[in-house]
Amino acid sequence: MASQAQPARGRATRRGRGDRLLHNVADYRQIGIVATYWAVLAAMYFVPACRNVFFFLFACWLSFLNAVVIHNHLHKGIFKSKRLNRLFRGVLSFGALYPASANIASHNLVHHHFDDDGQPDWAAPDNVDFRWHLLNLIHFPNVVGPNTFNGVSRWARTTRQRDFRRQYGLEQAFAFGLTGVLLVFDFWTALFFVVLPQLWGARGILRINLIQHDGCDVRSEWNHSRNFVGRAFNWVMCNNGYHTIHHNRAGLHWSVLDEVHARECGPRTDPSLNEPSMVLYLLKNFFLRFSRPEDRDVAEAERGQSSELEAREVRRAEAEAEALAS
Amino acid sequence: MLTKEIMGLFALGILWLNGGLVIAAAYKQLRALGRLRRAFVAARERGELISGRVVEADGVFARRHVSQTGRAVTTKGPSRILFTDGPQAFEVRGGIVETADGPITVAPAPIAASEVWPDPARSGEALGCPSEDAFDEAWTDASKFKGHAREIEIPVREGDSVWVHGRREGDTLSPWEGRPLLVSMVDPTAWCAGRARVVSLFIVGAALSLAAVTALTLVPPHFGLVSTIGGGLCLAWFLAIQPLGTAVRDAVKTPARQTLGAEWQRE
Repeated sequence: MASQAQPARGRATRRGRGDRLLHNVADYRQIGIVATYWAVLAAMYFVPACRNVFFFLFACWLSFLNAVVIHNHLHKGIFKSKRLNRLFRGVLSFGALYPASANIASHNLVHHHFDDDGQPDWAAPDNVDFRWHLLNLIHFPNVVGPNTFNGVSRWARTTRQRDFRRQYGLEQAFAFGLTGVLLVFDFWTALFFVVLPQLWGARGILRINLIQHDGCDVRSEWNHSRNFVGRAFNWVMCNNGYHTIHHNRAGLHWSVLDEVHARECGPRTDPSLNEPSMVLYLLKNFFLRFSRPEDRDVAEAERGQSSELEAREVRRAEAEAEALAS
Repeated sequence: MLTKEIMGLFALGILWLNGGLVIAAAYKQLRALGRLRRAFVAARERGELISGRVVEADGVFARRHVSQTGRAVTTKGPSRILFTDGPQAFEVRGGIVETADGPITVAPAPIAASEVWPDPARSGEALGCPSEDAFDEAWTDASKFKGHAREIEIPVREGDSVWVHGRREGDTLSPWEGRPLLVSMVDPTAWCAGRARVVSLFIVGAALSLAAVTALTLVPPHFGLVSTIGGGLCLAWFLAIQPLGTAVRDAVKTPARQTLGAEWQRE
């Protein structure tokens, strides 16, 4: 049944090559993003001349991309060495001011389930209900952030992955410890030029849940998510615009999502869920209108189409096993 | 160049925008509670909200049913099982409620048209660990990946004091078209008033504390010691108000929507 997924997963494409360090050389782009982000934060903290609008906005943008890298890395560790993967999680945690391993519970285990198992998705769009949709976009992390950390804390008490709590604690210690040190040495500079970008990225990745699922049908197989299919956008975002196929085949490396999206989502996905530009989508739905867009039957596109997908629980079990192993 | 003054104003703007939204969300909850309370008060006047004692029921008068999954706690300490809620359902089976004005028949309602608000004591009885054997039995499954599945029944029985809210036809209460028949073990009007006080307190406390930390930050000389302490408190306020806001949101969910959870511990 999963015949279409196998070639993409196992294929040794140009983009799928690894080297001695990485499973996939495409991940050097992710390492580059994180390194640039750290460099920009350091520049703003240590060099007064760098405390300008350009550097600040660039840092906020890179912080968001840092959170995207967390997402990708926690689905599939980028290094061949398990130790390096754990260390990299610490580095990423500082960038987002939250422990990267929280994604295992909040994203891989809960969000990818939606509410199939009768338990709510901590980041479901219906967590906010202002009439003016822009307020929902702004307010969303204020609600979903605490939902997520309460949920992760609960999950951490019962996880059978024995070293999770240790890793989670180390990431917290590094992220909050280093940020705390920066605050102690120069409070205002650290607050304005380190903490604000960190929070922008962390809160931005939470907002993505609203952007990518609001008005979608999470019970459907091919219309539960909104995709942003611009090529330049996806180059920068490491293909995180292709969200439907990411949910359906969470084990796929991000570098092949564009190919598999084009091959599999095609006619099964309502055209309105393939947005050419996130900026235009945000303008259209949040800034140039006051009301929340009405829900419509977006799943109609997949009715009568063969699915060729394993059952959701099987796909998720595979993805979970991969995340927990790295 | 982004000066401290520009960034300070920008950061205060973020603080006030997000703080304002948390307070606004709480105010929406307060208004919803007010609407609900007014609806109950009006229903009482029309005889559509009655209170009394269940004097006749075919076994169970009404029930809340919750599926839970229990997982073994893996942190250090005694053996414990942590339960989380899954899907839930309500059912009003009906019976007769003796009120001060005489008996009222409560018609059975389909699951989709029923809502039950049990009291905390009754919920506690259903959630607790009945025996050491039950713990041991659950522990085996709870220690596995899938966890221990259990079905919780929280009943409203004959002899219980209840409030019933429904469509009145003569001496009978039944569900409305599109609105459920409510059976509650707590006075719903008083419950709304109590929760409204909690939200009001939160709104006033949040607004006053936000004003206080902002004022401290603006104490001259700007970015001096007192101002910096104020800045630190602003950051702490920003990080604290979000979980407090969601805690208030959870506290004012109606008893039908309250998460039950539970934790068993081996004695």
